[in-house]
Amino acid sequence: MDRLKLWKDIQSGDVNALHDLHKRYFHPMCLFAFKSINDHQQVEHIVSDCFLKIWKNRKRIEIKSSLESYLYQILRNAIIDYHRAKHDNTISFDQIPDIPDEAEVNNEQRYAKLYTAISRLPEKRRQILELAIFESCTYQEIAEKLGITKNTVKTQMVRAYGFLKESLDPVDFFFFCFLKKI
Amino acid sequence: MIEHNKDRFWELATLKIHNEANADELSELSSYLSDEKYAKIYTEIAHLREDVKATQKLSLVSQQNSWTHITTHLQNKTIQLFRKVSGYAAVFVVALLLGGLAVQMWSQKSYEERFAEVKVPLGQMSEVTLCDGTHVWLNSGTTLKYSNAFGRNSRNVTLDGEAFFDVEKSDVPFRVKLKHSFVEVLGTQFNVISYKHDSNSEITLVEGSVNVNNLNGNNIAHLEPSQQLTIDDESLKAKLRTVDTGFYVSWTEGKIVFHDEKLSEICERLERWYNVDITLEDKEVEELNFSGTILKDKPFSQIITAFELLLPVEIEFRHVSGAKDKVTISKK
Repeated sequence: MDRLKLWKDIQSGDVNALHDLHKRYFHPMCLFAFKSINDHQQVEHIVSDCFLKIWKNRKRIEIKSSLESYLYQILRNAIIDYHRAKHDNTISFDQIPDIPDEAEVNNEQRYAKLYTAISRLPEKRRQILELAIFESCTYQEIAEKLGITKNTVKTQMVRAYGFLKESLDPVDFFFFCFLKKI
Repeated sequence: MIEHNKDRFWELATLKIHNEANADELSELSSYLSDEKYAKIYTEIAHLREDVKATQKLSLVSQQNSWTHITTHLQNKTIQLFRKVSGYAAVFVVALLLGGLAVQMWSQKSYEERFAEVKVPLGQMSEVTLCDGTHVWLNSGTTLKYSNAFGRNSRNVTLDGEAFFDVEKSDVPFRVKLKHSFVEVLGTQFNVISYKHDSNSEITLVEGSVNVNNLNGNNIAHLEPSQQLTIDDESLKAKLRTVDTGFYVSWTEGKIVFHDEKLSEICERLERWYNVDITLEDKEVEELNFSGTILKDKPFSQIITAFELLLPVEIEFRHVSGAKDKVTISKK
């Protein structure tokens, strides 16, 4: 199991292994933190610190269940500390989400993967997709905003969706061939 | 019967997902969905819209910055370790006496000086712990530079911007190089404002004592707690006065606490903090005194509202895209 190896490498002092862990979990962990913290600078800071904590204590940490649940445990504690330090009485501790189960982590990892895929879309296509989804614009509105035809929006959306599906599910080779065609 | 075509299916599916499909297109799509192959793809992409929406907040955080932050702190750790080892090594050299010189020469030769730089973007703040245990808070738009030799025989840093130093006591003097002067201390707490583009530098001492020297090492001034030195960077003329240090230190806790401070001085700090340009229209407004606390995590608009409520002023806020937002404060 490569997660176990990753942890062994981290314990032996391999910074690259820590970097791998960071690449894999930074975005999913941010998504978890965003559930109860709106300040994005704080989210970035808190998540970053989790990795420093792990590194600092790597020799003393004994992973009982899984590396993942350990990461989220640290993160959740840090989030609680953050709210406590802020004396934020508007948030009660049961509003801080529980440590996610595997399905939820998978979901957050899926979002992270999707995020990377979106950033790889050609600039214009990404812009169209973001207007449609983040701003809930209609095809007509997007066409007007960007000075293109509604038909272009239509085809660009199809390509964006095709690319995203492919990047989430790269085993579908035939589909990939099909994508190249359009 | 319409012939099924994959391209057409994708078009219809995305139209449906974005509520753009008309009745004909919807019925055309359902004819595709009776085919298991297409139904499967459809279920896979039907959620994409919500899933993409869920990623929106990720654009606000940066994996790159986070990793840089982590590695900077990891490095501090390694330097610290090295210093401990070199400390023991020195004892060893003294104890043995023999070969001491050789070791020293070797260590100097194999050693190449490099600089580390910590840059804080406008509108943000940051803090670093140096390997000697000195803690430095860096305010908006500040750069702190130090060499990898830091801590061994010298503790020198170079500052452009504003920083609050909590210097760990040691026999090795801690020096902050500013534009045309040095601040030299052994162990103390002080705040320095010295931005490259400003015409003067300001040093405020909280506790301990500091010396401010020119670049040739000649003493310009000696500061006692609660004293503030303002140096003109051109003439090196210095002015000493007693201040409420809380005003200059509180920013490290994410707030500005001011007690009967002039509006002009408060605005100077707000400008850096929120990365805005503030113009005070008349002299009378500049001289207005104000007490209160501003919390950094509050939006700038809230501060404007508070000022307008508490002071006889009118504030105009103008958003400038691609440059600093402009704020004009005038008499009511």
